[in-house]
Amino acid sequence: MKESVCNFGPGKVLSGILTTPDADVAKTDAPTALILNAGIVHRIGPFRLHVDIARQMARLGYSTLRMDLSGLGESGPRSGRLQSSDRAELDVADAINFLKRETNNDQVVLMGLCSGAFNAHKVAAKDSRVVGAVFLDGIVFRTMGYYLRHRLGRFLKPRFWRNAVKRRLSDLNQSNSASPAISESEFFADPIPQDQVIRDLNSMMERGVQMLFLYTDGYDDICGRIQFKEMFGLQPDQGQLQVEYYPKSEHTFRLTENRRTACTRITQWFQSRFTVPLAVVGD
Amino acid sequence: MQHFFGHPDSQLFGVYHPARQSTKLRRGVVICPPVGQEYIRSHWSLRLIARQLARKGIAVFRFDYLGIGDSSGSFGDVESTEIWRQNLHQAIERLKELAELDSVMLLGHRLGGLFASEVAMQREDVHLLILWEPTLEGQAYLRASRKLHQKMLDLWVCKMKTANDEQYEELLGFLWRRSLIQELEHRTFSLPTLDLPHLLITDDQALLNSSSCVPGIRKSIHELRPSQWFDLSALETANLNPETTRIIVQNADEMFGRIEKLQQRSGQSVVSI
Repeated sequence: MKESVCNFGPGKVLSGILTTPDADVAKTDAPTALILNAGIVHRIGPFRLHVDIARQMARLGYSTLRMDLSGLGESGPRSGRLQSSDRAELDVADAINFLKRETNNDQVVLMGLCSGAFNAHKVAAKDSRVVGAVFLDGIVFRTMGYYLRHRLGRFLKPRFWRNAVKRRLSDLNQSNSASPAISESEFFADPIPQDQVIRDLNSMMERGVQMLFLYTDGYDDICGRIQFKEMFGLQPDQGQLQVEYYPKSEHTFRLTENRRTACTRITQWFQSRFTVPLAVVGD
Repeated sequence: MQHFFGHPDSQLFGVYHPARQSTKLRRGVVICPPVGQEYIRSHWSLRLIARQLARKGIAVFRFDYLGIGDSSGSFGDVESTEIWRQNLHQAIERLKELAELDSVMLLGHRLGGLFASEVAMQREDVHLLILWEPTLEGQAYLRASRKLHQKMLDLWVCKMKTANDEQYEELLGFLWRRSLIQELEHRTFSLPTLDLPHLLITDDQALLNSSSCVPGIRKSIHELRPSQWFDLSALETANLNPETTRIIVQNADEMFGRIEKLQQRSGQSVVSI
């Protein structure tokens, strides 16, 4: 495989690492995976998750661009007064244009964790060049089922109470409490209403966009795979709309075992959805 | 300028920040980042420092060690810290080549401070050093990392175990080779032996109180708001410390100024900062 630095966008202020497979395994007609920043973590991803995904993809014959959105990581700022999500849409469009010039293929599969998934959703809903998307702990809405399973369910678990007490004691013993984590609201300045998300997802389904949603227990607003149908009214399957819930994983896949599971799931999904011409992939 | 350098099979990622002011002075800094999760938490601050130094007319080179960041390899492939010191040597050569320098300053952060100190003592072309919250005792670092890792697992939603066998030990999200851990456990750097001008920024009282082998060779700054490296709630928090960033940039500039003045005087071998 080969990894190279790419600069693109206005004044070439945007940057990323393009990972391409060896020629003997390369699937040249396949779309390129485009991985977006998770929060303010630069393009390597939390605990280097994005590097792991890109390299595993290359071993299977697929190319991946891990990019830094404007103002993040190694990318410079984009001029003009724009909301962060609008900026992200322009940045991704520039990345797709770059890939078109570089690979003569403008079909991409967006991937993102948390704010990355939020940005991926916004772009995927509008841009027909997006033929697939992996949403890691993406947009969620609390449902009645969530309150029953999560709130009541966890109150019945002794480990929940044990951890709550330990955390409390730990906080009390902490002489220098850390500055609070940067709020996700900074990246979700304009939350998308639930009915809009539903319309977007249905539109993507009609367009034949392949989708994989991975949720973790560490994401506080979702509890169980079943919540997907409760939120969006769509029934996940083993085809175009795949949804998984990892009850043992933290939001950012802190443990190597969790990261390995997610990487394998994502790359196998990619392989299964994009090994045949896209025209016949849609279910 | 972002690029890969080094051998194609083990290429390293580097970013060259050319000096932004036209100056006759030849100043350069190689930034030695931390490793593991501390590398990710520090990325933004170190980039900021690099850009600010470049604005002051100092060429800067940032790089990622093998198995870290955008460089090739996996963390779990690294068998010894020797490879990371070799990477630092490569980075120094790279900056000297790009900026046409004869000597450089090293800025070492956390474990990067350990590597920077060791490498600085081996080379004639490193004439200044900044140690920012350096981790100079491998054993203490690993002990604190293990404690935090166990705390994280203890508070996990369910009982979890991570690798801890003859081959690997998982610490705070990364698999460490047993050989790397064993080597780092025995690695320590005695700050009093450091015989080149250096700036120390830390809240570690023992380091601040330690003597130096040459009087006046060290400037110590007690960091009032140090980073919470071993606080679980800060494990994924970016280490943003504008005050320390400002201090580092200002002092680097002053250190270069002093050494340049003194270098103009013939026969000056020891420089006081």
